[in-house]
Parts: sequence; C-alpha cells; structure tokens
Amino acid sequence: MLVLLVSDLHMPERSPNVPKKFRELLVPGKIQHVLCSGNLTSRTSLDFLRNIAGDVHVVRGDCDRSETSWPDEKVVRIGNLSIGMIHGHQVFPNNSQKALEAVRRSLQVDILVHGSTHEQKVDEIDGNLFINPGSLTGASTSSGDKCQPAFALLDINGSACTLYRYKLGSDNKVDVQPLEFKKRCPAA
Amino acid sequence: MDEILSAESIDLEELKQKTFFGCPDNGSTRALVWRLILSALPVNKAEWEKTLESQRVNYSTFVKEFIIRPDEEKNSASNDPLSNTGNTWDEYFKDNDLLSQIEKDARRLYPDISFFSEPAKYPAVDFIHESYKTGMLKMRISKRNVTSSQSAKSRNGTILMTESTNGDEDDDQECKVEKNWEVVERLLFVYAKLNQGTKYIQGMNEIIGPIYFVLSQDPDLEWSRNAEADTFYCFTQVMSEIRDNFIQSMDESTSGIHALMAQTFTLLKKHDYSVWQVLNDQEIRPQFFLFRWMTLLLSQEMRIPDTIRLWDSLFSDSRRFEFLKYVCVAILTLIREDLISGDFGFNMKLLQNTSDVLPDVLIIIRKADELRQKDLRKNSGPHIQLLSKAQLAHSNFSR
Repeated sequence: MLVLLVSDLHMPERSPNVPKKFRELLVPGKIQHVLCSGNLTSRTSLDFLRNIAGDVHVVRGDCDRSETSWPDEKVVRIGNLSIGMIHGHQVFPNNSQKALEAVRRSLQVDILVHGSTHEQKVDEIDGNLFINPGSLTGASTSSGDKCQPAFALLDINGSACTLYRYKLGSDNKVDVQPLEFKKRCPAA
Repeated sequence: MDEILSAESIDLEELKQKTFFGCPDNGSTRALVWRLILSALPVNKAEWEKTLESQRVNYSTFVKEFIIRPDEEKNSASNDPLSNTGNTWDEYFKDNDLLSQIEKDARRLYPDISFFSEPAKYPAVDFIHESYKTGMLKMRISKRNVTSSQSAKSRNGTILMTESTNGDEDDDQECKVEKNWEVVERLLFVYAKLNQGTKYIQGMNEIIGPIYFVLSQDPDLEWSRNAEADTFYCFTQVMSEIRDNFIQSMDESTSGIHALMAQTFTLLKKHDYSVWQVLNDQEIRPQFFLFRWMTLLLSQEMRIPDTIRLWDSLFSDSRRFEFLKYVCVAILTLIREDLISGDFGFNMKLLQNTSDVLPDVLIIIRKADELRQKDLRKNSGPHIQLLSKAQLAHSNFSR
C-alpha cells in the first residue's frame, strides 16, 4: 500500500501553492495514508492532504500554531513497519545524524520521518531508514534559502518497502528515484 | 444416486432426473453432482484426473497472472507509481477499484451464517500458489486507519505513549489468516479479470457463495482441498448461462432479464389469473421483485440450506433455468391469499421479503414441478429446443 510522506509546506506564507506538476500526481484514490512531518502552517495544507487520502497523520512543526492538537512525535505502524514522525526542530544539533538516531531509538521505530531542513535526504543507516521528504511546496527555509519542491512515497509490503523520491527539477520535470528497503529482522 | 455415480461413464440425463428431487445431504455427493451437472467435470471417469489437474493448474496460473505477477512487477518495472500514463501502476490502481467493489460485497456475504467469516481450511498460500501472500488483496485496498501512538514528554522526562487505535484492533490478526470470504473475493476478482466484458457486477457474490459453500464442505479431503479452483469452474459455467441477466445493456434483449421477467409474468397469468390481476391492477411491475429473484436464482429469498436444495433442482433442469420461472410462479401462487387480500404497500413488502412467509422449499419445488408438468402435457407439440446453452458455454470456455 502506498504511503505519502510530505513535510514543510509553509502554505501560504512562504509558498502560494503545491506545484502544479505535483498536484497532477497527487490525486485521490491512489494513496492510502499520508504522513506529514510538520509545518503545514494552515488549514488549507491539511485539507489538501486530506483530499489525497482519508488517513492523515501530522506532527507539529515550529511554525505550526501552538493551539493545534498535533503531537510533537508520533509512531505509526503500517504492515510490519513502524514509522516514527518528528518535525526535527527540537532535535539538537539540528539535522545531526546522531541526534536523529537517538530519536529513532527512543521511539523504537524502523523508519524515522523528519523535516525542517526543506532538503530531501534519505539515509539508510544500520538497517534503519531516515527520511526527510523535503518541502512539498518548495518553500524557502527560515534563513531564506531557495529549495527544490519534493516529497516521498512509500510502497509498503509487509516488512519490506520501496521508497520513491520525487523531486521537481528547475526544468519543471519530475524526477523519481526508487530505493528498496527491507527491515532487518521481520516482526517476531 | 450412488449407483449412477459409481458407473464408469455417468449417465448425465439420469443423474439430472435424480438430482431434481434433491441430493442426499451426506456432504460429498452434492459437491460431486454439482460439478457434473454444471459440466465442470466430464461424465467419463477416466477423464476426471486429467481434467481436474488441468483446471486446477489453470486456476493457479490465473491467480499468479492476475494477482501475484502484477504485485511483483510493479516493484521492478515502473519507477513512478503516481504517473498518469499507462503503466503497470495504472493497471494496479484500476484493479484496486474493482477490488474494493468486490471486497465490500464479499465481506457481507451471508451474514447470518458464520461460515464465510471463518478461517478458510485451505488458504491460497498452501494450495493455490506458494508465492501468494495471505491478505495481499485486502491490504491493497485497505482504507482502515492504521494504529498510531503519540508520545508526550512530561516534566520529569518520562515519555508517555498514548495509543490510539483508529482502526480495527484485530486488523493485524486478520491479515495472518485467510477467511472464507477472502477466497470468494479472490475467485470473483479472477473471474472479473478473466471476463473483461462482464467484470464484476453486484450479485455475483450471491451466486458464487452457495457453490463455494457446498464444495468446500465436502468431507472428502481430496475434493475439498481443491474447492476453490473447482468452484471457479462451476461458477463460470453457471455464469455463462445467466450472464445476460447481469449485464445492463442486455436487459432489453431477448435473452435479457426483462424478457425473462415478462415470460414469468405470462406464465403467472396462465396459471393463476387472479394473482396476476392483483399485481397488474396494483401496478406491481415484475422488476420490483422478480429482478432480484431471477438474477440471484432466489438465493436471497431463503436461507442457505434451502437455496442449496432449490439449486439442486435448478441446476438439474435440462433446459436450464426454464424451471426457475416455474419456481417463481409457484412462490406467487403459494402466497396468493396474502397477495389477493393485500394492498400495494403490503404486497411490495411481502414480495421483497418473502423469507418469513415462504412454505418449505420442497413444497415450492413440488408446486413448480406440478405447474411445469401441466404445461408439458398441454402443449405436447414440438418444443423449440432451446439451444443447449451449456454446450455453447462449454466450448466457449475450454479454449
């Protein structure tokens, strides 16, 4: 089954909309779950995600308003895989692999989805997967740097999955790269 | 019955005549007889082994072709699941639409008996294809929410995990064992993929349900182990004869359901004019109730043991499903008192929910047979021999 991973939409403050190319791809009826690792910043973003799939999981980012009930961390189990979600601004030093590993351990998950840097980054370290899907809208970072719109898609099949990385290039072409991942020891 | 079945070459006509009066309820006989009279099994015993072997291998290939292969292929062939151009993923999503339609109906098949929600005795992974993964169809379309847990750090640093199970709790459990309704789901899916013209139409589940029920409860393990594959062939045979009833564009044709209903009403007019008049005056159209009765072979009107007994008679009809009309007329004449005294609302309710007022199934069959005998005697002139649809379908299928 397909699980969409997105992050850092910052809509509408930093980016007016999801790129048209992406909107054409993300249509209802294909994806079953959506995991968003924070910084949607508006109701519109959430509605957009809800439209893609009925089951949407969100964690709070630093720019999401504090009155929302979203948790800081969340663990979702799909198939035999457990997926942890955190926005990542709480992690210090920011974007450090060691710090993220500590989060992954405390959540006891196989895959950690995080965000905050707006840059797509996927690492497989010691049989665990760290995914930063990047910014879906290509919103600029807090320091004002431009970035590529991107998201990720997981096709989960028991304790294995295929990760598809989507990036919108400067030539307005969508670039897709698959990556196979298998959990080290299948569920006991 | 045993005598007929023990012959090397089974006399199908004789068998049909016997079956018309019911199969013995010892489990094995009916499953075998249905296979025979639906011509899913040749009459010559010497050919059985070869036919069964090839049918079962074929079915296993279908499962591989339609379910397992696309699943493997989508991971290797195409690298963009979301692309809208026709690729393996596109096919996959289309199949998922079909599948979710089938699943809804298969899940609620015969809710009043536990059989279909019990674990299947012979799951596909062991008996159809070794690379089949239990629950793989269901997982493809599962819309259920996944289990998730949220954590909150309290001030002293302890982490509190709150589990929120939005989905069904036994969802995990459910995926590990295969239920009987999942077998039905798979059967219907393979049928739909194989018959692109008909695909899946609501109601097919009600036809396949009793067949699978009978075949899989065969106490003889050699037979029941292959119930799924054999059900598929029996179902295909039945469908080849009643397929026209299901296809909407065929409704108006001479073999479509409207013609069938009109014929039944004509029969009713002939045999019980006053009931016909009541229905006619109250403008109760045949499609209000006969549509369901006839397309589903009355499987919705009675409980499953009665349905099975009735189907003994329906299947053994040599001009297949001619007898169905008589059964419908018989039901109407048997509840004539209620119909004649009732008004429109009462009658509609009665006709759409007959299970409480219907007399025993044997009485219905006897009555229907009586009516048919009467007609046969009356016009003993040359019959228009309906082109044996069974033969036609057979040649059609054995390609």
